[in-house]
Amino acid sequence: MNTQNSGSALIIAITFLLIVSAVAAGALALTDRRWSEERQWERQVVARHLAEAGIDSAIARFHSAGRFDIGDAATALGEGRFRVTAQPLPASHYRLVAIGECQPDDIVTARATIEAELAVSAKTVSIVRWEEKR
Amino acid sequence: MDRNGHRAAPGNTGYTLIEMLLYCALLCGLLNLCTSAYISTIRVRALNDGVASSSQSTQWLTDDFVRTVRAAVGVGDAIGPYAAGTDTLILEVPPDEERRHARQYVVFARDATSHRLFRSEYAVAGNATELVRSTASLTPFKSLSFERSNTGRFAMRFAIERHGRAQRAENIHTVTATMRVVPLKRGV
Repeated sequence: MNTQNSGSALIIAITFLLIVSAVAAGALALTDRRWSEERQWERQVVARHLAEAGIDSAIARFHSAGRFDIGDAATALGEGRFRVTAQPLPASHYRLVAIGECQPDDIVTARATIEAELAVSAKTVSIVRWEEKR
Repeated sequence: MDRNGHRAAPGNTGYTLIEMLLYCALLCGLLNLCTSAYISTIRVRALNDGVASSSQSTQWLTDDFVRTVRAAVGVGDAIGPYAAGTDTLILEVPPDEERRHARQYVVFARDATSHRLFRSEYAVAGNATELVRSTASLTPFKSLSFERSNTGRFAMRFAIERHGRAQRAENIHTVTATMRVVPLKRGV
């Protein structure tokens, strides 16, 4: 029996096994990363909706009271909360900044900021500018 | 020349039975690994396609929900066959141009049979209630619930039904929206 050739099948098989394992692990990691990115994108959308809800909530306050009196307190809604601040500008304009935070388990996983400018008159509240901050 | 009188190939005397069995066992293991990796890849691909498709569907739904809540002027208790509850939301919206003397309502509800989300619009003029239009989501929903506050803030939570073998935990989507006016509340 030729002893120099006796272990080659085993070595080839193990090498092949290692290569297949590496490819499988790489594919799994890639899939997992894509999944995580998708989830993060979704959390970002939730945070954006919360920030938009903050601006809309402020608009409702302007409609009902003619002024913004929510203050800086965070309002919980759905999977997170929003916080709105208002800064008066000349000519009955207001600059609103709403921050929406997605926090499904008391940990902030995504945050979105929307800045809007409102023109407030006795009867109407109109949006002059709406910008999502990156 | 071996002990049976056969000539062995130069430099190769063949394999022992143990080596052959080991080789066969390894080959079977590798084939099994490759086959399962291939099948898993196909399944993950199908799952991703399903998620992408449901994402598009939910994108349409969330945009429509936010738009409707923003435009809403009030909250309803009951309309047509629907009654407001944790899985049914009734919102009063400004009426269409051709029905400006009627009150118009939008209902978001999950159909118990088809599990699809229905968005139905009703117009109420006097005692008459008319179904204006009704649309249904393409994908069935596994669950749907609404959270509401008296100040016109709403959260909709839903999960899309998946077909085939799901590899991940249920993905609950949440969309929030606020009315731009203080909500009216009146019975229908």
